[in-house]
Amino acid sequence: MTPRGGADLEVNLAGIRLANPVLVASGTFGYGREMVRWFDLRRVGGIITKGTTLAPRAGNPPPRIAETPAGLLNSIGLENPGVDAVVREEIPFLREFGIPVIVNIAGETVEEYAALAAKLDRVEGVAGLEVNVSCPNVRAGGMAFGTDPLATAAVVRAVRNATSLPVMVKLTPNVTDIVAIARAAQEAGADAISLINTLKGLAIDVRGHRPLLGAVTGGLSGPAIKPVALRMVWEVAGAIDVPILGCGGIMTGLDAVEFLMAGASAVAVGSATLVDPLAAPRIVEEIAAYLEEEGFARVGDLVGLARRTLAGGGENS
Amino acid sequence: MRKLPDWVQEAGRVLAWREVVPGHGRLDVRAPALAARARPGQFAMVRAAPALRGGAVGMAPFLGRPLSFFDMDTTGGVVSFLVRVTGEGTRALAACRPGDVLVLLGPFGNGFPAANSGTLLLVAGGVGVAPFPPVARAAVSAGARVTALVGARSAPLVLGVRELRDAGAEVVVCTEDGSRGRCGMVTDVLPQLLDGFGAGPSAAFACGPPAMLAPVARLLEQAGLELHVSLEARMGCGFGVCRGCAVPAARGGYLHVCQDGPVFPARAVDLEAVARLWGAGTRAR
Repeated sequence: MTPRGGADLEVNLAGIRLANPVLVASGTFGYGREMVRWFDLRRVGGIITKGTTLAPRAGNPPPRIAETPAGLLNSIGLENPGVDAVVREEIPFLREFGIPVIVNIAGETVEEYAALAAKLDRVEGVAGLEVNVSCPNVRAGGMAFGTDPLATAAVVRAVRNATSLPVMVKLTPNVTDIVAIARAAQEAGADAISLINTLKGLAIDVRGHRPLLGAVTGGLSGPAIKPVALRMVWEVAGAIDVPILGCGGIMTGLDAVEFLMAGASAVAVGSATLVDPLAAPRIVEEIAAYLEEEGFARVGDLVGLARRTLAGGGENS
Repeated sequence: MRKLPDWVQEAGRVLAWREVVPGHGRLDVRAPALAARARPGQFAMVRAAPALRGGAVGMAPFLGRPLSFFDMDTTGGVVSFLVRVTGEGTRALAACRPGDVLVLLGPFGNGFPAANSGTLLLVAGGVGVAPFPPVARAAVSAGARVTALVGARSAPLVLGVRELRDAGAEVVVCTEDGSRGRCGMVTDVLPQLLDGFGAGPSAAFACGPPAMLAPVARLLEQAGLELHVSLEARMGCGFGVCRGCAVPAARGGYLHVCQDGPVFPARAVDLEAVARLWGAGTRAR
């Protein structure tokens, strides 16, 4: 459905056809059940589910949320019902909407990632996998994989061999050289790179004299991290060939346009949904309005535009 | 399971912020869609949002604050909240002037079970009185008698008495320093109150500091009464997607205040663990 204006919003993300370039980020949309009370899910390009593990996880001890300037810290700890319950109960529900569903998977070992990929491989309604090697809130696995190129590659290879689904790898910004990790993921067979997960952070309760979060540290998200995310999208877009999903502090259509111009092929909206449940479909409308105002025929024309302009390729070329 | 009313996002216009006791205020907001849907014991996510960035989402404070409905006037389209000012988010609410626009999401949560007959006992500590005036009004109009025990540290901090009386409740006040009403904490006064009930109350609801809820639950359990408690938690969204508002469940694992609560049977929650997590020194926002 074309929200407004005549511009073509369709994008292809690693073989997944999205009616528009706005997905909802993992962990900020559950499995969609609560969100159908806010809007018709068909208004967004696709859904990335909550991080899903092999066995159910209860999650981290509370408090799990702390507000920060222009964002929030969370230490949810991958609370989820486990992949079997997700396949049995959540995917059939989401399938009804006929939009791409990408399942975010997280493991503690390479074998767990492969097992998750195998379990989801032929599940009707699953359009792709987002491999989470970047969760800062779990003791084992998660970010430990995403901070090392060899470990990232090992996970990606194992997932690649276990599924024919498009494989997107979600990277952590908590590294010195994001390009090295992204290259390793691409070389190991990733079809797309998702940038970025949260930045590891800390908040202290000055009245209680202790860390505010039960797990001590948490992942920082929201507008506070947008410049970091944009920089990483820019750096990685200049170094790899597979498409990038940009994520980090996107609140408006113009934020999304920045990510596209930096080199992302599509974007994911995360924390914005928590404070404005209608953020993702609103951002679709705002991108369409921007395309119309600026006279772009296709959203694809924006992808990497700032890079081309800087290189002297001219605008709209 | 009861069907919840539809959730709405509404730009509400502030009618008044009035400090009622030091550090606490009553916020009245014209929000007709929310007022028409709100039920006793439910809450809304409320954010004082300067209209930055596209007119819809501001950034300071970033998250809404979960606030129980202290009053709702369905015909007038007004919802009211009782707010303890403790941090950035609540300070922003306290700085509101008539005409300011707030962003409200809700109504969320399950609310209290209906009390239609017999005697309903309400136990409130401090700002924990917030959800009770609408509960008392609904119970009284359905034919129940309502007795409310309202505790505070000292006389200047006693909250909600007038609103509870207006709702038709009989109110017993206690203060820790004895400066108003009976002397002692609610847990000191509650046994005397239960003795005076004769046949005893038929239902009991409590809301207040976690350190108060656990002993209140024990006292009422000894009296053979099932208690429902309304809990507070730090929340990201308020509607179930972030999983941020977990509280320890009695049977292990976690319950979520926004979806499973904020009202729980006291025996479903590990109230001792909640008290440890949000114990002395750790204050809500």
